[in-house]
Amino acid sequence: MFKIQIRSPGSLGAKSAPTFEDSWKIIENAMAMIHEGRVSELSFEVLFHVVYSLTLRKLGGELYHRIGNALEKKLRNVKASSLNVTSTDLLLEILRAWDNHCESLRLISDVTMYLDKVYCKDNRKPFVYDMGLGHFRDIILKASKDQVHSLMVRQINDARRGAVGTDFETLKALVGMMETLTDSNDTYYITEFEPFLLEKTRKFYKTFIDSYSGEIISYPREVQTLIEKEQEVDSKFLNQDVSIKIAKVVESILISENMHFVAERVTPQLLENNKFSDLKLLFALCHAPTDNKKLWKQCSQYISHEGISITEDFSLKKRAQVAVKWITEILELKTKYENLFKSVAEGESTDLKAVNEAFSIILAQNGKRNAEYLAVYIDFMLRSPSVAEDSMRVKLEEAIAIFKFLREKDVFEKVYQQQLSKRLLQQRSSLKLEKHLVNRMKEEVGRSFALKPEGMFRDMSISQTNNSKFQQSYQVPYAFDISVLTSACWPFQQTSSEKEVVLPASLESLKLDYENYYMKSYNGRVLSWAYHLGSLDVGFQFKKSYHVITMPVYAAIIFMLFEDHEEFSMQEIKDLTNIPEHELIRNLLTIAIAPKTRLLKKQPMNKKILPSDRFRINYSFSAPTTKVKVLAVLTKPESDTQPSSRSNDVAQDLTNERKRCVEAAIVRTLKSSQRMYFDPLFELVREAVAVRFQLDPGLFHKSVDKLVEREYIQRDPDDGTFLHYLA
Amino acid sequence: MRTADKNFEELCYWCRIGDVENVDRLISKGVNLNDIDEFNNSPLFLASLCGHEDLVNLLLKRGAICDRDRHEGARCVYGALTDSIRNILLNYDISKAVDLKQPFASHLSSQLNDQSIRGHDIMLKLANGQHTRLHGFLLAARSPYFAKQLQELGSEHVTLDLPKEVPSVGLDIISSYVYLVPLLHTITDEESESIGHFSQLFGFAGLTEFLDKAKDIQDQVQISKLVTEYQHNFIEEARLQMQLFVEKIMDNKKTVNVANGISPDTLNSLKNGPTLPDVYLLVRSNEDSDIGFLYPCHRSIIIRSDYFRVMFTSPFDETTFYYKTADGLVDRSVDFPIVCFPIHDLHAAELILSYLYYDRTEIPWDVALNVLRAADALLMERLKTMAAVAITQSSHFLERYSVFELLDVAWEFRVERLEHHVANTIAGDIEHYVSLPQLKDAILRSSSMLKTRQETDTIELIDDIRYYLLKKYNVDAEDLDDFDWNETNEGGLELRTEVSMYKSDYQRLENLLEKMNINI
Repeated sequence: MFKIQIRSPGSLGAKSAPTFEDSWKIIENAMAMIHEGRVSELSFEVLFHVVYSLTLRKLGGELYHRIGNALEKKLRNVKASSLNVTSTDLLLEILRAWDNHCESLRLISDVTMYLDKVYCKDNRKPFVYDMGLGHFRDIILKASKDQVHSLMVRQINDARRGAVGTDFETLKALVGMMETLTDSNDTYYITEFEPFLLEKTRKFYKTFIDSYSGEIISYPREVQTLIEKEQEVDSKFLNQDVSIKIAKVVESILISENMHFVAERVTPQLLENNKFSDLKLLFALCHAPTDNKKLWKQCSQYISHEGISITEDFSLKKRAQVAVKWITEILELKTKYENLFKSVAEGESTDLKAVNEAFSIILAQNGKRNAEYLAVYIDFMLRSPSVAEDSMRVKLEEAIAIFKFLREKDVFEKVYQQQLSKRLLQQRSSLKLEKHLVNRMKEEVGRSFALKPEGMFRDMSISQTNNSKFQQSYQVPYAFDISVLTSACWPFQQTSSEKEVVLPASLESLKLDYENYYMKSYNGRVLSWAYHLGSLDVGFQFKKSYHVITMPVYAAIIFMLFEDHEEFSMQEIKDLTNIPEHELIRNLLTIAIAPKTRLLKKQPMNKKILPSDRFRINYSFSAPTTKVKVLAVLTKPESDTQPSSRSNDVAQDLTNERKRCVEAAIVRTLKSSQRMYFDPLFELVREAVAVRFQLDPGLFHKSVDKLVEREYIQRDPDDGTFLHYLA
Repeated sequence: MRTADKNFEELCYWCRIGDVENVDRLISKGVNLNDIDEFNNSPLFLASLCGHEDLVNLLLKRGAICDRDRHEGARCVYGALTDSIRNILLNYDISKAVDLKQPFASHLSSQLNDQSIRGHDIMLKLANGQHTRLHGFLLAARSPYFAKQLQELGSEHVTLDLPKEVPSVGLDIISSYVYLVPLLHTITDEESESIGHFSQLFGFAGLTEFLDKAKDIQDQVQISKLVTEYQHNFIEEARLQMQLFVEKIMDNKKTVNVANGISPDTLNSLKNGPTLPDVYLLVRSNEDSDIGFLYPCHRSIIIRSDYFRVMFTSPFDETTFYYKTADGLVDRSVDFPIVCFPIHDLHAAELILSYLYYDRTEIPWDVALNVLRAADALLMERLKTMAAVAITQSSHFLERYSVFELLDVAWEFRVERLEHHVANTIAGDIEHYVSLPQLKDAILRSSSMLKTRQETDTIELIDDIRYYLLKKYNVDAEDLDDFDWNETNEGGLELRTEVSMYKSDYQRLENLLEKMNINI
């Protein structure tokens, strides 16, 4: 009869326990059979119980040791028999050995479960499986480390170069193996292979950079392609969290470490050729904060270069035209780059910083000129009657953006106020827009800027009310417009000639009536007439035609002298009218010499005005229109495109005002802190005046000296750089 | 709702104390976790009130319900001692509650689609050709109808045609019900009638009862309450059926003489018996005897032991016995292997089988030691703990064995609970034990273990004894520091007696250590 044999030892800790050596033979034999793939011939039950009873009998340590030795021996055999190849076959052989080893280990560790659980846990030894992996790492992998690593990297580099037929399956399996093996608290991949791979990756891309032969301008595209290729290659054998590290290395080589090239050579070319989409790509590539900063800085530098290289076009006749053209170009530049960077750096706060920085630099060059030009530009804009209000507001807003960058705002202020006063008196601009502009500037730099302009606006509106009231009570037979200006608000020097100018009778009565009227309402105020700011319309029948001539008040006074007399000498005119001499000469030049408005004939016919010269009406005067406007000539007509003497006055004014400003700031600052060293004081004062202009150390020194002289402040007797405030 | 169940009272006691193992043991006896005691406290409430986080987790895992919309649940949340417990309760999702259940039930559910053993040996087929693969023994255990059908079919036939009236949803319902996969919430009103029909036919008593009750209820809250109740009932029903089935296994065991070998006839009669086994477990009656018993068992169940799991999933000789038929079923025409049970105590072996089949955790103290050894060898940690619990619960154990024998067992099988039990026992009668040479020996052995463990720089046994001395007299270690021995003030008298008794016990231990020249 067929009988089934029970092969199990069947008992636990039986009284006649087998010797250790007998038990070990069973395990050793089983391991050998497992290596040979004959596991199905082995009884799990038997083997488990051998391990179990050895462990219970406290022989686990010896068993563990023997198993370790056997695994080691086995691996040495494998190494000797099949791992002495050198080609890529080595990788395949290692993988095969790995697969076999893992499979064997898995089965062996099934058998040694109890040993793991009891002996290994109590003694803090790695489980049999992990011990076996450790042996594989040391005996197989580390022994041929250099070869394996360089073989792998060679394949990877080939794939990077676009070679086909890379065996990614093998690479992936090898990486998997390396990630399974632990090594000093981390995986073998991390501790051994990754540093090598990263180093080689670094080298690979370094070589690419060093031998870069493509167009400079196509560098961003090339880098993009390389990065994409690298990602594609990596994705075939690495998992995401380790390929990220490679991507970082690649980026740092191609971008961060190559930033001088990227910034100084690639970026300017992209900007120059308007390759905006490539620039956008480059910004995406330079996402590391430091790279990003450098790139912005470079862009900013490029813009400021471009801005500084915008030159004034002196071929234009008038200074105003030069200014307008220059400012317009600057504004165009600004708009262009603002739009560019808004699209490049979507939603990033740095987007306009580069542009702003650049313009701050551009406008710091030749600051006084820029301030003046901007004022001129604004004057031009406001005087353009044809521009609709909405687009005018846009233009003004652009101008204000520039205004913000001005370092010498006081220069601007001076020029602007002068021009504003003229626009107001001549009623050449929309009061609404003027007020809007002042409000905007007030928002940008503070109240003080608006004080004078607002005073001017107030004067204008009060004068209008007074004019109509005056008209109602005095019935003046002709149209007139009198503006009463508060002298503190308007940028005019007070006129005080020794003798009162003699007006034609009709004007004189108007003047007296108005003074009369005004004194009634504003008792105690002094009116002094600024004829040189006014103008007069005079109708006259010349030989050929009748003309209404708008001319400066002085010119009109002179012209009207000829109502009763044929001829006067300059000296006679002067005596009759009391017009100050320089005004007289200027107005005579205007109406007797300036070619288009020659209302008087002069004897002799030359371009100089002498007291003996004689004048009479030029009846043959004619003009294409009925209305003729006489513009007062400047005393030095040739200086039209050069800073005029008037602007010299302005400059003088400015210097004085700056002095006052600095002195006031010094006194204010010292008063609050009583005593202070020179340098910190300079800093505070510099800050205090920065809204208006940049403090020049020379000016500061002079101001301090002056204040010491005037005994507002005192130098410390022991330390000249220490200043005291004197109450 | 209040029950006078003694087990439930005990469960509530352990929930207060925080003894995870004892609670686990009792749950496996089928105590209703969602019951309440005479003060309307649920076990979950007690555990969370007393701050036993592990226990709260266990209770939730085993199916305790924390429905915040109901009074009991809200009470648990508000009563929670720590924020951590409160968070556990708040994160508890009642909709998932139906998935939580007893270990044996989870194991059965996992076998429905198990890929590691694939012990499915029966194919159920509908009239329309739809079919599913199941375990014959489980069908037999769970349904009298299938038990009969399969017995009639004979072991070689593996396809079972279902009656025509079973609808196509039937396959899912049958397998879910048999494998204890929650199914009640999936049944729609339209289906319930036809399900009720075949449920009755197959003898699915619990399911039939549920459908009968649910029929008349409209209220969703009531329904879901009923669903929860019956999901629990099904498990208890299955536990009972598995218990009966294990009894059948016991009844069918065969006596064999190992020395003479085992005849194929014996195996064949087992194979074709009512338990539909696919493995035979051999247990010898004692160490020296050639006489043993063969139990017709099932791989799908015994793999709850990691030892058997590896045996039947790793490609050793034991797995070479199994083949697959063309239908992907276990080929029952071949011989199945005999594997040895690592124990020579029939009583203990049968207990372990009961544990494997239906979580039986009640272990009589006199077999507990053998169960513990076997559980260790079979790599069954939970059973090991249960055995240790049985030992510590019994007052009789130490009448037969000395504490030092028990300490040996504790050390050999690494059962901390037993080490503590020994220390507690020694502390309880320190006067007696310090005079025994075995204590010296044990202390020396404990200190020698120190070298390998290196976890602390103290001798664990001494530490434990000292701890239990404190407990014995209910003394706080901090009280000792500021206690003034000379002063006699009132009110402190009782405490002083306690403390002085503690001190003298303590001194006894110190004297022994001094004699042994150990300074800790």
